[in-house]
Amino acid sequence: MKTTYKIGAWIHPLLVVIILSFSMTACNEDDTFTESIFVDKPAQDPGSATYAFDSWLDANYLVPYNLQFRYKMQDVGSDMDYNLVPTSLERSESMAILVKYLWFDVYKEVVSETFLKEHGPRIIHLIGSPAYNPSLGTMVLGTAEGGIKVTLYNCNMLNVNNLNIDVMNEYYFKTIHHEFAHILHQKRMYPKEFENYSAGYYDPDGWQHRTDSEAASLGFVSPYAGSQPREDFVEIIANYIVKTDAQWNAILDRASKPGVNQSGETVQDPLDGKALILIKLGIAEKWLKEAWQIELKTLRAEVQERQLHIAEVLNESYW
Amino acid sequence: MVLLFSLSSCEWKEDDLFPESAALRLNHAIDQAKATLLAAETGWVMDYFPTPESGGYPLLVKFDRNGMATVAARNALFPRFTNSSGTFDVIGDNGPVLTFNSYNDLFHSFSNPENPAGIGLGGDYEFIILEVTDEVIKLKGKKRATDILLRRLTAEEGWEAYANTVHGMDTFLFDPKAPTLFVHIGDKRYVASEGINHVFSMLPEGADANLSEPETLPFIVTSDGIRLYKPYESGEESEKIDVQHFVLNPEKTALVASENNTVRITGQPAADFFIDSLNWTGTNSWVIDKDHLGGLFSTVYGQVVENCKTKYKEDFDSFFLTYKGARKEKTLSFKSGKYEGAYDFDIALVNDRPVFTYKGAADRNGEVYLANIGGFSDFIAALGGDTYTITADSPIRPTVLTLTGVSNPNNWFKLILK
Repeated sequence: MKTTYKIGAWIHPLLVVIILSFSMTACNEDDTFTESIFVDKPAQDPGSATYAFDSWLDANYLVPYNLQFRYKMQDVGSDMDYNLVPTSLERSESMAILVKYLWFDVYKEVVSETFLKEHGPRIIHLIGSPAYNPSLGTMVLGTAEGGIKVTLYNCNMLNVNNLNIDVMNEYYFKTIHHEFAHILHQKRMYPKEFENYSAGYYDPDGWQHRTDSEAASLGFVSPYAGSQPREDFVEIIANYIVKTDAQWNAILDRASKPGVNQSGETVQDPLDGKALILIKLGIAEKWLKEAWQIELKTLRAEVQERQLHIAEVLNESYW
Repeated sequence: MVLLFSLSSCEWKEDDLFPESAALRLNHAIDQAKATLLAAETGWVMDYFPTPESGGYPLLVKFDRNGMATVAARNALFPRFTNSSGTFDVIGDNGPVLTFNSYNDLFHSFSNPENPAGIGLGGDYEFIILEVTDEVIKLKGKKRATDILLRRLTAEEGWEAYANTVHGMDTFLFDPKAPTLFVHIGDKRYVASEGINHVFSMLPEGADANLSEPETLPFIVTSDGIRLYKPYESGEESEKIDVQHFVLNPEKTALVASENNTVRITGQPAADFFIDSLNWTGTNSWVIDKDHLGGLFSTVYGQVVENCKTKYKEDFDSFFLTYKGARKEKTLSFKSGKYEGAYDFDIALVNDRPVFTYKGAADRNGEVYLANIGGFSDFIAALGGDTYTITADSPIRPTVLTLTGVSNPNNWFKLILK
């Protein structure tokens, strides 16, 4: 709102006159329109090699969720700072099936039919390669832009012939829950008190140098969670949803011990990592319930159950 | 301002520079480009350069009405003929843009940001379409601004046959055993090295490589020769040289610029190639061809073979010229049965003619065979007994040299580069 006022204050009286002048000098009749400069989005072309897949995407994403599942890459729609490549058609098809099964259908099942219609992104963009930051030694796994668009990277790594849910979660499905949690907190902010629990321990520039063990002992579910509070918040949610009980308990176990750094040295800290993680998880769980009517434990149980059936889902025929 | 507008004529018009609006022209350009791409039933040859600084990769591309593009190649990245498909489109972006918009295992290898991470070969997969004709489409990579040509493949050429022809040209001119090339421009000669990487590093002949900055000229191998990434320009305005496409002449002696046939690329002179240390190092050697010997060499070689058989019950394998082990000493080496031996030679060029000066046995086996097998000492003596003219089977890409005695041309032998 503040920005709007500022722009309004800069409208010069002369500009108003110019606009008015134009509107008053149109004394000829309008031209008869010939050809529109806008090319209508063509209906799916039955002659296209991707017709069946595109029709399925329309029926399962575009119509119910007003969502464009963008698998044919346009680099203007990507981050031009990175060198990226598209996703293969085969992997795009698998990703489309899995994203629906492990995300859209989950919310439809355990939250509400309309939840993702109202709050889901409008574009999912698949990128085949990672977005590397060579100077930092990191790679971007996903981004969520303005609540509108979720970008998933490294999709060509999806190996449907050797399904490994841990790898898939790390690169894609944990990333989806991570990015969607960003979208949600961009709409309704999480409690400010969350940021107090690990204040002083966030490291935006050096998080990648912490081991899992060091991060956990400081009260972070992953090294990236220790980069800044909002990443901490969504990492807790995403990891809790996709990790099995054994994996989650392993994080808590690591968090209850002193951290071990990259050199194998034990690093002492005054924190109770496990307690911190559980407190922060409690805040996230409460916020999801109160702000969004989402039962985190129910959501997690549904995802955990579905993760057991990925191979069957991919083997079904869709188009 | 108000006055100005109110006084302007209602019939005021300005002639349009173009008959259609920019948006309509873009739409039509997209349609035209797409129609031309699809019209090439046997596809296109794509002269692909990942970046303006890198060597080119010849690709074959076929665009189908179903939105799929098939890309094939046999080049440095894909040593065997390979093809792969993915979707393509022509979109409105920076003008009409050709995009390969789903991953194609072959085509996107040039763009995949791996090795090194984040960069890879740095190639584009989206191209601004600059110019369209039925035969040639000029493209410019969106990120790297690399100029890329699509040349329509003629109907007679099958893809694999075409790819093999290009690969054959590549190995003929630029395999690891190919000689250094020389570019002749007027009365100047330039050394063009690093052809194997498809980026010439060019220095004036005689220039000190440590003190001079070489000119780098990326190029791509074509079915008939090579094409430089950019036209090479040199000379004063009155005698300006501007060349880009070099065609291997029918005699296979030179690559001749199609724009100016006085500009030529030739191989190393045969004598220089003969003593070039690269051809004597590691596993490289000049093998004396036992089936092509003349005069004294034929006679003496026959004695060596016969005597090894009778005295040691061995099959004599070969004489060959090479460095022995790690020493940078030229030798006449031999292999007989399971034994090898060598003799040191000083080999120098005098007026481009090699002179062989025997220096002694290089190892114990050399001594033993010299002392016990008739013919060895005669062969060594024959080698040092004359100077030789050298001719190559192909001056631009020698694989066989013929050394003919100057005093007695009946005495000759052939050397095969192995």
